[in-house]
Amino acid sequence: MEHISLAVLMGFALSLLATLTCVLWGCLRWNRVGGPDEPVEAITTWAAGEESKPK
Amino acid sequence: MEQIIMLVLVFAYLGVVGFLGWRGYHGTRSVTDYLLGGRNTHPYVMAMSYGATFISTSAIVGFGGVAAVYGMGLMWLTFTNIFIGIFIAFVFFGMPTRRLGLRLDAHTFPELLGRRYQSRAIQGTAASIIFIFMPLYASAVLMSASKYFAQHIGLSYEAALLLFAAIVAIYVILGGLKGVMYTDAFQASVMVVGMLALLGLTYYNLGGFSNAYHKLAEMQSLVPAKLAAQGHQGWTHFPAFGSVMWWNLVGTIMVGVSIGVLAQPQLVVRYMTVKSELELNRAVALGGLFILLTVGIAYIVGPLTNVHFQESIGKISIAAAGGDVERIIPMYVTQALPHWFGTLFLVTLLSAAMSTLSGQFHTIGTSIGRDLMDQTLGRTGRSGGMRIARLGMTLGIVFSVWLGLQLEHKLGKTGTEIVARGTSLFFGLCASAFLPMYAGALWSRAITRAGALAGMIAGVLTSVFWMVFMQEKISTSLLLCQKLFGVRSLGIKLEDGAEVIRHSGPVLWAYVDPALIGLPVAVIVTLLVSARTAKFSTSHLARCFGR
Repeated sequence: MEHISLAVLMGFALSLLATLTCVLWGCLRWNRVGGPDEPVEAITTWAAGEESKPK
Repeated sequence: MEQIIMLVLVFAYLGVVGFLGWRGYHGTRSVTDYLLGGRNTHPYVMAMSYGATFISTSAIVGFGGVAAVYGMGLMWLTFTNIFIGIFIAFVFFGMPTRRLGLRLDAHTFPELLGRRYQSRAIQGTAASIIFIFMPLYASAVLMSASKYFAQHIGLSYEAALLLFAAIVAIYVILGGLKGVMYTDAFQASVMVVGMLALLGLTYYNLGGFSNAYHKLAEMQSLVPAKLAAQGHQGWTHFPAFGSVMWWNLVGTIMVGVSIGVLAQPQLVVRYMTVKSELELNRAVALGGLFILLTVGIAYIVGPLTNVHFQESIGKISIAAAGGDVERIIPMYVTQALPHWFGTLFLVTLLSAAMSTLSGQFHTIGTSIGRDLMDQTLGRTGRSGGMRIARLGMTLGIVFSVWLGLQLEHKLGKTGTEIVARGTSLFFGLCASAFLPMYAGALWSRAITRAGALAGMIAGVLTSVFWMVFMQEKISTSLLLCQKLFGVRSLGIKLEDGAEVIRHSGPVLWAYVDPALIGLPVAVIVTLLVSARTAKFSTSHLARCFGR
């Protein structure tokens, strides 16, 4: 490791840290739906309405 | 015998891909199935599909080759790929995108923007930008895969390119996004196995982990004088701050990809394919690991190829490859590693390329079919735009193949990192064009229709201007700057007939990525125009934001 510059080692370390963050996030929120999901049918019915259509 | 085993493996692989594409084709009954995989994709499939679409042969062969030239500084790109490309992308963009897409019943990225800003002009312009520029990125992926394919199978580059494009075209055109995502998930799994084997064999070949880096560090004195003058400090060091190589690496190669990933149309659409946030949460973990095991390994192995070539033929990698950056990794695999691995790597590269290309072709097709013809121009056929989407895909594929042939013919052996640059340019262009209004669509009630449209146009025009007249490699190959102003880039001036790079302090303008200029311009224009134009009704905003 002493052959590798500090800047490169930091890139290594941050890559591992970022992966760990992703894994931890995923594991801690594995079963988290994230709030009640709106019923798809109601929303698509609304989305078909005039007001939402692009002008 | 080895040839037979290779053919059996390749055909078995293509058989599985064909089967999954067929499953997608049979499971596609509606436009939502075709465009969004029915909005009920499994988290593993979603994460792997996102990762495999993001990481292509560009990353493995293109950026891996760049790592062989620039050294291990590219590990910083692994960090940004994981942190921005997965964590920030999923948590801060993916979840609100899924909600907004559901509320507005959007099927594509341009449709999401068009409905959020209630503007067909925005949807049409975004679709046109994708249709015009995405083939550049697709051709980069095609080129990198075809080079290895040609070398390994013994075909000409042109024949490999055509054959490869034809295989991808069949299952994308027929299978829709379901077919694309099923095959992506399989291909991503193959990629992980192939890359892990590549890392293990490389360390084994070079005498172990510590030995390999010791040898690489000792090669510092072998850096060619030309590269050293540009800031190369050895393959285990980052290029000198502010040098030409530093700007090439940070200002061009890393910036575009790092920021641009957030506004990639083919990736954004994947957030909308899942049923709830649960799938996105799980995909964060899987996606992070996937990126580390693919690009992380490519950027580790790239610099280490120098040790192999130095020991075997007494040359550094770029010299061994005859100046062709994209040949370094394929040559290394062919010459340094066992033949059986060459076949596994071929399948790995096929997977990486096919998964990205399928996503690109699908996005190109839906842009012209769904967004431009159907939604913007109102020309819906009985097939609900699917037929036009398929026609659009075919056009995009033909254009990408043509570009792949032309770019190789003109720049193939000039030492230009065509694949890495083509990729980062497209990523950067997406950042400049889409990121301000996409972020505004998700988080801000203050961005207006006029502001979003003005910002997008300003971002694209600035980026294109920068590519054509400022960024040295691109402007040099396009020749327009030379013809109009007598210099190959406006970032270079002539003094007594010699070229001098213009700079402001450490900033070398000829090496600055278009995204670094285009994105701030787009943000400023979006904010300024939004401040002076009519806001959206509170009822529309309440529907978009759910409160």
